[in-house]
Amino acid sequence: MLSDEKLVGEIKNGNEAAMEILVNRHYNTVFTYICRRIGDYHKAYDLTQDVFVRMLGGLGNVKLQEGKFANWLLKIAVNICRDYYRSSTFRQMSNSCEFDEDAGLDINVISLLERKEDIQSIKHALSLLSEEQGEAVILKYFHDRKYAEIAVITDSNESTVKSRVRQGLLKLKEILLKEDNDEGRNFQGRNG
Amino acid sequence: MKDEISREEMDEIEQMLKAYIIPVPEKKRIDMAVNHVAECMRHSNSYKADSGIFSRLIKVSAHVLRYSGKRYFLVCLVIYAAVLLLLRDNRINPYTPVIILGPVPFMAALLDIFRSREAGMAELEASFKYNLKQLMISKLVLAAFTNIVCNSVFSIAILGMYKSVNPAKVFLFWCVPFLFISTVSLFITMRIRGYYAPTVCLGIWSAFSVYITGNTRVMEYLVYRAEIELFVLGGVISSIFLIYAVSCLLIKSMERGDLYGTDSAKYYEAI
Repeated sequence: MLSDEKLVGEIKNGNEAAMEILVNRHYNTVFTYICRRIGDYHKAYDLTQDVFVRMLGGLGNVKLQEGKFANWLLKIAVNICRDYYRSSTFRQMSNSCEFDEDAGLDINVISLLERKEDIQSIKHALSLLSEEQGEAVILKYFHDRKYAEIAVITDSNESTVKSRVRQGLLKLKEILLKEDNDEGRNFQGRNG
Repeated sequence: MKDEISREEMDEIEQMLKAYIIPVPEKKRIDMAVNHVAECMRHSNSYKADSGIFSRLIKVSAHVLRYSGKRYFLVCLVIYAAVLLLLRDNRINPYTPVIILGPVPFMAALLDIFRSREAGMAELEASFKYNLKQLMISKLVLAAFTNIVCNSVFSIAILGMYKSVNPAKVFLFWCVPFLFISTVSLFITMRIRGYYAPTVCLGIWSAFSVYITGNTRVMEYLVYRAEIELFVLGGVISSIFLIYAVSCLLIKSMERGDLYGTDSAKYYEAI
């Protein structure tokens, strides 16, 4: 299998097939990051495409370390999400409350209350984290990145990342485990 | 304790997070992305060495100039015109407005950039044609250019109105504050993001420059006794810092892949 770096070299020479391989190889990583980060399945497709367009432009100048290509792509994805949250497109959407919650992730209030592992409750909890905490927690627990790698991806330092992950987990604990306890009490109340 | 998290709790949360599975992306959408990127490759020369970052920066700046910032240029023009009118009765020391106004257009641009960023930026950003970073850097380039043009024209006008002024000092009196204050403002704004950072910088500079130019002893020293070499040295040091600050900004943006959405813009233009 050709390494990412070799494929990048091919793309620089205008090889579209190499680009296709590279996009296919990393699409899922980028897409899942963006999807978890913004919580909008359909918008995630657009932003993922944007990441690869930016990747194409950046290839000419960036100096990639061996095996670090995926991290560089995630760095672009992090910045694209930041731009998205600051864009007027997002502000208009959030003002008019037109978030797309479908594509297999339908909000179901009953299941949210009754099922502690429900995707929606995690999605909701993640959305309550700050931008930096959300980035750090997603990269740590969904993408298995080391603290040092997250620091590079998010343009910060290792100790800051550790602190963000810890703070993020504390917040998640507060939200998720509280929900869990509430459900337990409700269940006892209904049966007692 | 509220601020503590045990190993068990961490594991429990980790287990809970594992339930958040994202549906596999549709093959159709991946193919669409591949086709889109392939189109960009065909329409862009970015992967060839002959396409430089600066030529792209100039192109984005041209778009920014066309679509936004007209009010900013108008305000700069009005300020300089008003000061020139005030200078006509020869009662004001000509060096005073040169010093005070030196970095003002650049600082005002910084304020404008961050104010518009907080307000959601313009249509260009909304359309995703350019990203925030590209727009900000392009606006900074334009602001620096505007600053130099405004002050150069202003200096020429003053030299025409006052025969006794020293041309070298007029040039250095706006150039050194422009380079130095712009660099400091840029550094502060890069660290503390938000429109209040350039506002505070502008406020501090206004107070400081009015104090300096209002102090006759300081002005006498600057105008009559200070050696030109001192200003040249200040200008050189400030230039080095400014180049360093701009390089940091550009290198950071290049590493993040932020500056290259221009290729996407080229693609949009092509279709």
